[in-house]
Amino acid sequence: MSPEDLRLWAYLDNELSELEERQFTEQLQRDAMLRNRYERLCSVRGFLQSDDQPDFDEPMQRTWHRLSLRNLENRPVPWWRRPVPVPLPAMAAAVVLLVLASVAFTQRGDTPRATADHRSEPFSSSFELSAHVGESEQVLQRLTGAGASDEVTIRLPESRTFEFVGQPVIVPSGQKQ
Amino acid sequence: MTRKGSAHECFKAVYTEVFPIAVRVAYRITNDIEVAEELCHEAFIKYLDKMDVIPDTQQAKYWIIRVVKNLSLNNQKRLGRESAANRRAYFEPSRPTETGEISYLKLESRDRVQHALEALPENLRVVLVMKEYGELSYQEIGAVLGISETNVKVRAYRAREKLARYLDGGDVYVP
Repeated sequence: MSPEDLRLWAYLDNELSELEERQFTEQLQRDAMLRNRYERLCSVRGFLQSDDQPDFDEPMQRTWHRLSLRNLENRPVPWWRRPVPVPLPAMAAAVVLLVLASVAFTQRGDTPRATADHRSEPFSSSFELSAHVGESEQVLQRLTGAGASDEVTIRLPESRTFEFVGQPVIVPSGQKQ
Repeated sequence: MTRKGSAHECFKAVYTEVFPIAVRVAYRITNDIEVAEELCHEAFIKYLDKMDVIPDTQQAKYWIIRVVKNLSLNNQKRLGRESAANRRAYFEPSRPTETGEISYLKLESRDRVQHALEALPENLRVVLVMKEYGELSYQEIGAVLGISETNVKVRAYRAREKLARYLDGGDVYVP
């Protein structure tokens, strides 16, 4: 498709500017070959418009009447777009409950942790204390000396294996302390 | 253009603007005014359901014409599966009452126009129908079909060239 073809069709479709149209009309008068092509394309358009169009007014009115029978203002609304009547206090209470529940949920998994640097701070029995292996003796002394702990639990990672040093000793439950 | 006013007013505005285009496009694809009317009715019912999600009247126009075009092509494909004899018997449009040689020539021309249009590939035919009968601009056709304006121009050009070659090969009455 040459630029001239494009201009020819644009001319036929009235899509040229006023100036372009005037220039192209002059060119058509000068160029016999272009005029032949123009007439050929005009015959295509004439051919397409050659048959009688039916009357479209009657179908338009008939279809409008059929569509008007449906109540446009009260047409069915999908359930997900229907408004739900919820009183404002109930909605506010639900929001507050949701916020509280989410706060409680997020704090449940957080076990407070402390490192050996926080030794002076008081802590509860479920407090976790991280210390290097070499410092364990000092930590035990500090804990028992301050009376801050009755029981010290040392958790070892399950994925690792440890060797017992010395003989295991059986301690009765009453003498646990 | 965004929609203002009640749903009824919006719908009527869209209907008044789009129906004449949609019915011409449907008629030229189906070659049957009653079928075209039915398909347009169906398209506007679909639009009623989608009215809230289609943002403005311009988009609504493109959407409805696209739906009508698809319904018309589907209808033609369904008809294509039926025998040609049945099609002629049940779906041939009513003949005009005009008599004489002119009437005969017009009838023949209409058949030839329809035959020439049906001989075009679907993608070219749809563009040509929208341009020549729907009187849509290249830009609007592009928006309806979801293709670029340049692509629309190329398709229209090819369709017209094919038609020109078709005309070169036959003796056709052009009023």
